[in-house]
Amino acid sequence: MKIAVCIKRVPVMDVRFRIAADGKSVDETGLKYDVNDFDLWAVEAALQLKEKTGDGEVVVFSLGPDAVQEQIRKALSMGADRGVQLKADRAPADPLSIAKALAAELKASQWDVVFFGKVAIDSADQSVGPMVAELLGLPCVSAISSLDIANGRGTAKRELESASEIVEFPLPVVLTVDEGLNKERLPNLKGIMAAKKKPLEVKPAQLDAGTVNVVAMELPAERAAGRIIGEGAAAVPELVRLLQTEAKVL
Amino acid sequence: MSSTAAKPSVPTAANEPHLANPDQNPSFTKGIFLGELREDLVFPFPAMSDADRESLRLVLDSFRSFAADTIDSKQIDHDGKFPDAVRAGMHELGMMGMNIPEEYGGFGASAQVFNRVFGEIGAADPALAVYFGAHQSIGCKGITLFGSEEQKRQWLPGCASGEIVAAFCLTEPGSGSDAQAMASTAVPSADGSSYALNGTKIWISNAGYAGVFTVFAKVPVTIDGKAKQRVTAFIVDAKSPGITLGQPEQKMGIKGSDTRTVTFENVEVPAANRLGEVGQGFKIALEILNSGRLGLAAASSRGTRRIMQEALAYAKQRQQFGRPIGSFEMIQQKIAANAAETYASDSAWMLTAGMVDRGGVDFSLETACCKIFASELAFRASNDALQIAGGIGYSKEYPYEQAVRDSRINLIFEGTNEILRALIALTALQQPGERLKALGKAFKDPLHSLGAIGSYVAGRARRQVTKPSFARVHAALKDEADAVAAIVHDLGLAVEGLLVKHGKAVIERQFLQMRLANAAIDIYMAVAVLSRTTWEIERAGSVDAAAAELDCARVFIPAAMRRARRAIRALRVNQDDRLKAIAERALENVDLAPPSPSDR
Ligand SMILES: Cc1cc2nc3c(=O)[nH]c(=O)nc-3n(C[C@H](O)[C@H](O)[C@H](O)COP(=O)(O)OP(=O)(O)OC[C@H]3O[C@@H](n4cnc5c(N)ncnc54)[C@H](O)[C@@H]3O)c2cc1C
Repeated sequence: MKIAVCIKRVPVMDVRFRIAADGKSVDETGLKYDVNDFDLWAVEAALQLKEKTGDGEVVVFSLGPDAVQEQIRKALSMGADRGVQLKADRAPADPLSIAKALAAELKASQWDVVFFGKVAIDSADQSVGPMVAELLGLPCVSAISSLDIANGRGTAKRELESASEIVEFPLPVVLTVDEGLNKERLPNLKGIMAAKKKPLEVKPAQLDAGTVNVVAMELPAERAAGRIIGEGAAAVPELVRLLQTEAKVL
Repeated sequence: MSSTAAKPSVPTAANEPHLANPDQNPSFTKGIFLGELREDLVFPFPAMSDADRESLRLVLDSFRSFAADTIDSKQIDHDGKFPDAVRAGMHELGMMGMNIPEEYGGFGASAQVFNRVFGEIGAADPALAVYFGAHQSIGCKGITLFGSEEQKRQWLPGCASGEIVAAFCLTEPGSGSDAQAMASTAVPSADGSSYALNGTKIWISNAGYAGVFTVFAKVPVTIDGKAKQRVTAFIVDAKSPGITLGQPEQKMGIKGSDTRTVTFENVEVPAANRLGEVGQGFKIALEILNSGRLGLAAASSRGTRRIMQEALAYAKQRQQFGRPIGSFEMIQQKIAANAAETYASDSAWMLTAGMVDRGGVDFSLETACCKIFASELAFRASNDALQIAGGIGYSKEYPYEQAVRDSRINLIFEGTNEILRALIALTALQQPGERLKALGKAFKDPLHSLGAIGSYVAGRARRQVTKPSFARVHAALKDEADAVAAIVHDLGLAVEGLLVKHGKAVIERQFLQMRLANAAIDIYMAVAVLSRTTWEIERAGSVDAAAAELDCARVFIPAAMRRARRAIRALRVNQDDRLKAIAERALENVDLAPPSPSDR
């Protein structure tokens, strides 16, 4: 089984973001980065699939500057076999540009499954996976929350609003992974050591100029400060009243 | 197309014995007692390599995720033990092999990485840090440092996976600080194939889990026709018949850590399990502890940060007199003082870990300085955090009281802070004399012999007295650097004066030793701050960009130098005779002070 996983380096979200001087990008000073959560579940899915079938290869791809090697090595620490960096100064805003560059690279080999996360938590486009499927001419199942692959076919579950659907598909396939599919393994010390010796290839990304551009960025409006209505049981009626009339949540 | 693999880690000397050649390994802190500043030993600040930084980040991320899911420090404190999942998780992550060399199944972490991780574990749960540290900082470290190839192959892979937990057995009922007074014996069998080990070891961390013990015991030998006893180290399989464990000790803090008495009764230890040579045991114990202490320093620094973080969040949120208590300057004083000292403590353990990794440097006094400073800081800071929290600080529902209890142990184990102060003062005084006559001697215990003081004085008199100065400190810290250099000069002169005045009798003068050690600790911390802050300014690109670091440096160094100056002055001008009279009267009467007027 040959499995590709495409992962993205994203800022860790537990900070206050600032907009950079250009007014259309995030100020990166002081940010910490990690692998996009959904992509970690994609890596985990790939590793489980490889372990289940007992042979094959998991290859991790990431497009971006040299810093993405850190995220690739995290995936290698989890157990992926090798990594490929598609080198670019930065990941462009146009998801189609990214998809084309990834597809150009992925086309060079035969894959049984190409995994993506459902969404990158920073840019939230939800489109690179399906676009790559389109460009490769492969079926795509998005936002899967369970997966079973055997005998060249797969079954997956997709969570819908208050229902779920089970879909079947042939291989090769492009899958994008939703929350709940698995919990990713933690790289252990052995894995981290092994990762240092695994191949990590660097190639220039074949990026076009793209047609979608970010022109401005805004921060959400500041939330109003919380209010203490009172203490103890005496405050409950007023609290209920405000929740009904003001906050309109009851 | 190009191809890269991760840059290899900078090789670490963390797993090589260091003191084997004290004459050739320079020591920064020994130097300052001679009025010398070995700037080359402390500059540039040893920043972590990129490869180390990346591995560290991965290890910390994994540990933090694991800790968030699995470690409930309050519950562990309450239960007095770890849930199985905690130990299993540590083993699974590979943590037990963190500083065991790669070729024996470990991670081969540098001292910088190892101690940083030690700190993180300590911040998550101090008892778990003791589990981690007793195992590899001291438990199996002797095998790593001094084991033969076969011994390493036999034990280390199991230790690295956690399958074999290690413990370090030095302390006995009659032998705590005075380790050489141990009564345990290991008597060789007639054919020399094994030793019969007898004795009782107390306070043994990890005893209940142990698969292997590093045990120190005396072997009878005949030297020049005289029967003598020589401290020797052994690797003892915990499954050997004749070993019994006591019940877990009921402790004040680090309750989750398993601490017991271990009794050896005619335990047959194969001669192949002897660690090093007969008579090398004490040196082995000290070398293990020399590097092990750094873990306590790193864990104490990180623990300080963690408990103060709780207090900071509370100080922002708790309102009194219509404003957050954090806005009151008496609260801010506690915050700022602990911040500056944490800055110093972090600087010093990192600098020292860099020395451990570099090798060829004697860091025994530096690790002692770091351990003393950081352990006292963490205890004080926990207490300050508790005070900031007020009444809830005293409640078991909040983390403060546990932090006070947990942090207290670090002033006691791996050498009490008193013993380490004496070690710093006496080693430094003894060193020059030892240089002349120690060639033949493998090791001498500084607390038991201070012979060559006379030759030291002679040597010192001949030495050119040049004023020390710094050349590599950033210009923004010129005043601070000058102040430190001036104190080092004063210290050199003061030591000389002390030796001339007291001669060998200085061994008995612990009031003086304490001051010497305190001055040395403050100087070493200040030097670490100079080195680190210089590095921070260069890294940040400008003085302004390193304002937070400079503020800490500019608060810490003058305060430390005031303390050091006072300590050095008190070497000459003091009330020691009167202090001694008071203490001896109290000991005699077993009553602390003259009776209270209310009792007259
Ligand atoms: C929780 C815990 C875990 C431990 N784990 C281990 C372990 O894993 N392995 C192990 O071998 N040991 C372990 N120890 C033992 C620990 O290292 C000793 O308690 C410590 O070395 C002090 O020895 P002691 O308790 O006998 O105190 P003592 O040596 O009796 O000291 C009592 C007091 O006298 C002071 N003192 C003693 N001699 C001098 C002197 N010459 N000058 C000035 N002051 C002096 C000491 O500083 C101390 O304040 C542990 C202890 C504890 C509490």
